[in-house]
Amino acid sequence: MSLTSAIFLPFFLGALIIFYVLPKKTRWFWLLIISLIFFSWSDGWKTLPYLFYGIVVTYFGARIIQRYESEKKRKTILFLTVFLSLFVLGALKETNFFIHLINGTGGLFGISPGLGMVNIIAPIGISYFTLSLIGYVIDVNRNVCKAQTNILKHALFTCYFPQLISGPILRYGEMENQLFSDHRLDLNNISYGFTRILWGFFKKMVIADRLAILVNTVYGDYTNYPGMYIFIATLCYAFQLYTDFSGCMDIVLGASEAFGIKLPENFKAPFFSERISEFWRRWHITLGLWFKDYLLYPLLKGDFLQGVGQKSKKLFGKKKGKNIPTYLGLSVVWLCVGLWHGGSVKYFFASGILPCVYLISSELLSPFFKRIIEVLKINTECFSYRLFSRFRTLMLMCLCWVFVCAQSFTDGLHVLKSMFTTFNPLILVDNSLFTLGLDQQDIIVVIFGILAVMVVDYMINKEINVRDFLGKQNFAFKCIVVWTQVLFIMFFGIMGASSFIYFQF
Amino acid sequence: MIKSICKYLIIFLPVLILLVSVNCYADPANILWANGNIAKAVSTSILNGNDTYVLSGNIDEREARKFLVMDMPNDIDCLAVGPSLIMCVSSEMVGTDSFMNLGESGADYYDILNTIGQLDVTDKLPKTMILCVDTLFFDKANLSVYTRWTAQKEYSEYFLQKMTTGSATIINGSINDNNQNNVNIIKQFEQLFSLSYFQSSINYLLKDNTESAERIGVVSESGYDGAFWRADGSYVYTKEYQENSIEKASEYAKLLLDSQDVYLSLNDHIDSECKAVFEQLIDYLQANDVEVIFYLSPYHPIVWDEIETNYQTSLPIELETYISEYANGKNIRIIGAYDPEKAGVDATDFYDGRHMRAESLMEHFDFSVVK
Repeated sequence: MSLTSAIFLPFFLGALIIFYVLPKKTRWFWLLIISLIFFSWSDGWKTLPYLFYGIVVTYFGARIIQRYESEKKRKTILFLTVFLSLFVLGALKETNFFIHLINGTGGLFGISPGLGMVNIIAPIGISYFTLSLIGYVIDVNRNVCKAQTNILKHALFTCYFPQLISGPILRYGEMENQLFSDHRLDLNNISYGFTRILWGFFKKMVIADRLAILVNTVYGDYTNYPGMYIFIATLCYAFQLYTDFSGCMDIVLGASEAFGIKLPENFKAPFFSERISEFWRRWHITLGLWFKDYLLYPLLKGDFLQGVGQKSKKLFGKKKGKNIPTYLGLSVVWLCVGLWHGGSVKYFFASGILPCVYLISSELLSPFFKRIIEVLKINTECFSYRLFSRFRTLMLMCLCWVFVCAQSFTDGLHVLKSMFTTFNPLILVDNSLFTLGLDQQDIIVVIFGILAVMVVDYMINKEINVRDFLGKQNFAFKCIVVWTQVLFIMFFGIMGASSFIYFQF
Repeated sequence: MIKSICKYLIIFLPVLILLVSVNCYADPANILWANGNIAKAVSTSILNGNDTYVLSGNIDEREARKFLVMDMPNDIDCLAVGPSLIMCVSSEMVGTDSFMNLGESGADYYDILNTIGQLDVTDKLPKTMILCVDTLFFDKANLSVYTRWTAQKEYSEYFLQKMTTGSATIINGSINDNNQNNVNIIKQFEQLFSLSYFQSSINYLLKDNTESAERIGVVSESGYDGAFWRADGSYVYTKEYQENSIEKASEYAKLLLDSQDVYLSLNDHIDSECKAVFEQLIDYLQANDVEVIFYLSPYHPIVWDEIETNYQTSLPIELETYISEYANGKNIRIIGAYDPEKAGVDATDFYDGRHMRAESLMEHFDFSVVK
């Protein structure tokens, strides 16, 4: 069941009504039932065992860890639990990637391993709930939270339906009270939840699915659409991906809020980022935080990188040497992020290697850039410089997304070559853009939609609480806001088109 | 609490009303009319002896034909079967009131087998069948392009088996589909609230198709400018289409050539399997005492000139020769010819690049089956 399918809203409404009709003490159990129905409906019964496996392994892992006092025993159980969880995730998501890698590497040395690809179906959302579960076990080991004694409550944390398919990645400590407390009926929550769901539908159906037409036309036949076509399509993909993923998050967070459960935000106006590092703090926030808290910090505090730090300080001096362990830690984290996006070289490169190169090189080249700014006497505190910085960040990200849009890594290289070797800016003015699947009306709708998204993002960037802002307005204004969205969806929404891009991860 | 609920209603009720009322008013697929089955309503109206129109024109012709076959009397003497080229043939031309035209737009190999399969299942094979023989039946490449026949494929499957083995049963099909109404009620309810149906409705309304009073109706004596089916199942084109000038028809003919329409089959040849089934079909009909008459609908002179000049070995040329020889051997009467010169027609006799005017059919061809 897709979040934009015709069946989702009746399903959600039915679930919500029954939720508030049921006695307070049983509501969490109802959430578990509808979560399992949602999962089975979306992915079929066949992949349920993977979900149960994750639940059982981490439930017992956490309980055993809590039982032991000895640090060594706790670490052993933790390692075992994490290994068992990651093993299934890796086997389901990465097997073909490694087969591809082995075949490719063998080819370089004239050996043909000839390993065939494996047809494995990973359950939807496994990448998300596995990370949530691993985070939970680590938190229990760190005594941040206590192990859940009721396996059904633990199951609800794992598969709570709005976030099951594409996140956000949850922290048990933040969710425990919300999931299992008595939920009082609060019409404000329901009202805000629905408004947010509507906003998500608007982003997905009016903007993202419309932009997808243009992007697919160009990338599906990039040899016939060189140069500026690819540039425009990649820029469109940036907005498609953002409105698709953040639209999905709006639906997820809105649906959850209607149940009185606030999930963590996954975006904070990422296109207003002036630096790549800032972009990654604003894009897929829960994933970034997860890797930071559960991988980067333990790595940096670990014996190995501490040792590397001491040696590098001796070798390169205190100032330069202290950064080397950080760069190594970052490299490991980004390689893992690349693997998490998984399954193919292009994702590994676009989501792991390239962002890592950006981050480390921007740190290394930072003194050089500062020097240029000083020499050229550039004012970095003005609007135009901030605009330039934002555009530069977006362009760097677009370079990553070229590989995501292309069919393969090799295709991505061809696309890049085609983009930079053909000079055809006239297509911007000679109506050629109308041959890419969108007519004049579509383009106007897209521009209006993106402007609306940017206005909201501007408010978020300025730390203006959109919920409070709307809440303070007159009823007539609220009506206009809701009606505008609804009418846009009704008239211009692309119905039953596609799944969300981030479902595949 | 009540105040808040009222606020929600003020916000969402107008939207819901807009959605439902537009879907109901426009209803481009005629889902919400005639108990959700406009095809059945049309066939019933025709069988009640009415000249019948459908305002939106959005009707599943094949479904209507099926109901027509299922509900028509068992003792109709003459039936016309084939693509749109035969749809204008009326009881007046045939010379008997015991006539029903079962032609349907773009009827191909499977459509014709579906129709005759339905006739066979219901034991309604006529004494005389005017079969419009067209390239569509013999061009296998087309069958994957147009798949409208698949909704009733159980009848062609049945009939192919019956012709081969002498006996067969309908698989997955039934003569009186009792589930039809239940399905339609669910479908109607879904469509009433469907956003995609809303968008289709809006597009429909924007095309000035704003009629909503009666979806289907009976053509009154005072005349009707739109297209309609006569009570004998024959089809009358819109008055505007009937008034197409020679120039306009020639323009259509050129367009047909330019588009290399699949209906022309200019780059194809007679498919051996289709030919074998065709011969099997004629044998079957004759064995069941059905007198078969072939009707070859002439091509527009512009189209035929092009075929003769540049496509001398194409399917239309091949087919005309084959049908003449085959009909001779089987003692089957042929009405018309693909070659307009042979058929004695010219550019003034056409509505468009392929379809002859009803009055020209009457003037040039003797469809009479009364001996």
